Amino acid sequence: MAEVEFRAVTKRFAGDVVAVKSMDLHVDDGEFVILVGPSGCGKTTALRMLAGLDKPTSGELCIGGEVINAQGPGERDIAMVFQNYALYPHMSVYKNLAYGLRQRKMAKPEVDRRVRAMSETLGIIELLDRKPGQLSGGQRQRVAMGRALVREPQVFLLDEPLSNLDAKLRGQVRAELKRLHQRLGITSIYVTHDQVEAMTLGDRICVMNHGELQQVGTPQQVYDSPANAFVAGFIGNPAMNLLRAKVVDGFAVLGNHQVVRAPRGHGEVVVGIRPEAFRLAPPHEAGIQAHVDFHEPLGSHVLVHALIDDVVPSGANDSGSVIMQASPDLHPEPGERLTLTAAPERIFLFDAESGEVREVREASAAAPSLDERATRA
Amino acid sequence: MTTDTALLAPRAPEPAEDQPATDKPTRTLHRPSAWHLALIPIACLLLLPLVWMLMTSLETPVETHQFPPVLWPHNPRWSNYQRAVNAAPFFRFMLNSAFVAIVTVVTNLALCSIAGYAFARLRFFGKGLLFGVLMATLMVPFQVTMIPEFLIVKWFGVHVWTQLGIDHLGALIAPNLVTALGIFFLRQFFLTIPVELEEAARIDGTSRLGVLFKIVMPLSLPALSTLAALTFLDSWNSFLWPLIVVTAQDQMTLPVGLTTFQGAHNTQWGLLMAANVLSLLPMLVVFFAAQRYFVRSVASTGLKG
Repeated sequence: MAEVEFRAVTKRFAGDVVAVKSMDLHVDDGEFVILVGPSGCGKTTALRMLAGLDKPTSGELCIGGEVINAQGPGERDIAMVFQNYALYPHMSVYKNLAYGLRQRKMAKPEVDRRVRAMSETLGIIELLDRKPGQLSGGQRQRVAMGRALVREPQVFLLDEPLSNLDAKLRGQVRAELKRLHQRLGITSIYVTHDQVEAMTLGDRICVMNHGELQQVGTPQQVYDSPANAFVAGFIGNPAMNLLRAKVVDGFAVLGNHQVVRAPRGHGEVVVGIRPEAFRLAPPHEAGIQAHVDFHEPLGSHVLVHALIDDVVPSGANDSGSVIMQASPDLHPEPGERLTLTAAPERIFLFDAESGEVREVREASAAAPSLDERATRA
Repeated sequence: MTTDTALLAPRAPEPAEDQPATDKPTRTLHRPSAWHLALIPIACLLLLPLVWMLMTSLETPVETHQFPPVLWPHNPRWSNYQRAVNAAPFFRFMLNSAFVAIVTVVTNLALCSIAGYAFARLRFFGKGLLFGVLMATLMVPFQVTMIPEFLIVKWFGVHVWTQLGIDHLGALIAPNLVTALGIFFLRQFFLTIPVELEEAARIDGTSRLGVLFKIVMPLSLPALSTLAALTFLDSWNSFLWPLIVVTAQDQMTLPVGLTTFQGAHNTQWGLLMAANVLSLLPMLVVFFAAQRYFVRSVASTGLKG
């Protein structure tokens, strides 16, 4: 086990496509770090560079304090689980597990001992004689993990390992992965586009977009204090409501309502409110006027999709539509009028151009009307 | 469509979704279809030369010259085979053919794999151009290159190693050690193998060559068998090149050796056909051994499962 470091790592592909832009990241020994982002954000390229499958254009990659840029994939003492598992189809499960050990000239009895111990751990002992083609998706996934872990690598890399499983199995394997990591404590880097996997598995999350790290932090930090509008919109399910608002008299105005105090000197800001931060305003109180589009009952709660009145859609991500998470006893009819409000400390302000977060907390302290209205939930 | 409905009609009570799975093997394996009406006569037509050759090999010289041909000899002359084998150093020809064919197959499998893998996976300067040139050589007919090739082989025999020169088996092997078609064929197959398998093997500590020999080649058995069979048949049947470069009888391969039975004025058809039948046998063995791979490699290219 070892710590991993990216030092100003850049990857430029032919045609001047920058896949990863000057990435700096330090992963502690035994940490489980998630690289998450939309497809094409450079997360897989970053992982492949660490594995030695792609060469960085510039920058240094370190494992255990040693620069490994010049080492081939086989010399780095890493193991990787691929999205499609990449099990050797012509070898039995046993041989798949033993292959990496045999390549490293390990003695046969030791190989046998390790393969059997790992198969016990993963519950695949009865599959050892089968070929990958005779296994189900979940079993293949487990064999792929076994093949990687049996080598007891310093760093464990996972490239969207759950994306080929159905939803139920994904949940199970996710839990198994977490348990396995707690037990083995191998430094792990996990690439996914699924923010649920990112939130549930990682000690820390690295959100990437357009080849750049947007934010690095614990799942709760990233969720509670997103660094910019992209992170805010990407992490959280359903996503944070991001709405463009005009700044009038020092307040961000949504649907003729002064939502929150905004820094002066800006014509427009992006207001971010998580679905669970929305509350219905008490009767006769001011708030954001909206009408119900439809609602999705989910048992434990209801997602109400509403359209804010008097909002002119200003972009692809802003149609004036918001999602509110409400208690399951709420059954609003389509077209029903709602007055929405939110506690000011749960409202985010982002710069309309750069998407960077604006300090809102002190600014909004002077917005008593919203504070008062937020009492009811 | 009409045959489908006709076949399905009597089974109407069965649940519809079960039928495709249960029906298929029966229909394709056992039931005669309208296609057979056309396929059987065509098969017979294709078999005719083979049968004719077999029959002629058992006929007397008089019978072989009769017209219309005698398709069933009155008194099969099995001795034709004995005489054909004794009339020329037949086993020498066969040994030469086998030696040339086996060496060519082995070198083609090894060298075409390495070159095909390089073209499929490695990145190197001028790869596209080199591959283009290689493909272009496929379009040049042998008749155009045979004289320069002859001169090169002759030069090699004089200046490099006698065994590679004119009148030696080396002259038959050297120009066919590796073929552009083989490289192209294997490259195309290698491209269909998921690259993640190779990456996984490299992370497991395998070298590039190790990846080729331990992962890629075992997964390419259908393609390798097909290439082996094609190379073997090509070498076994090769006539023009051995005719040009070999004149000494002890270096001749079967096709050239068989011309011994063909004189300027008189051809011993019975003996020639008996020798032909004998020379066909190894080819039949190779073909039937590799047949299932032929079919599979044609059917499964690009559909790795």
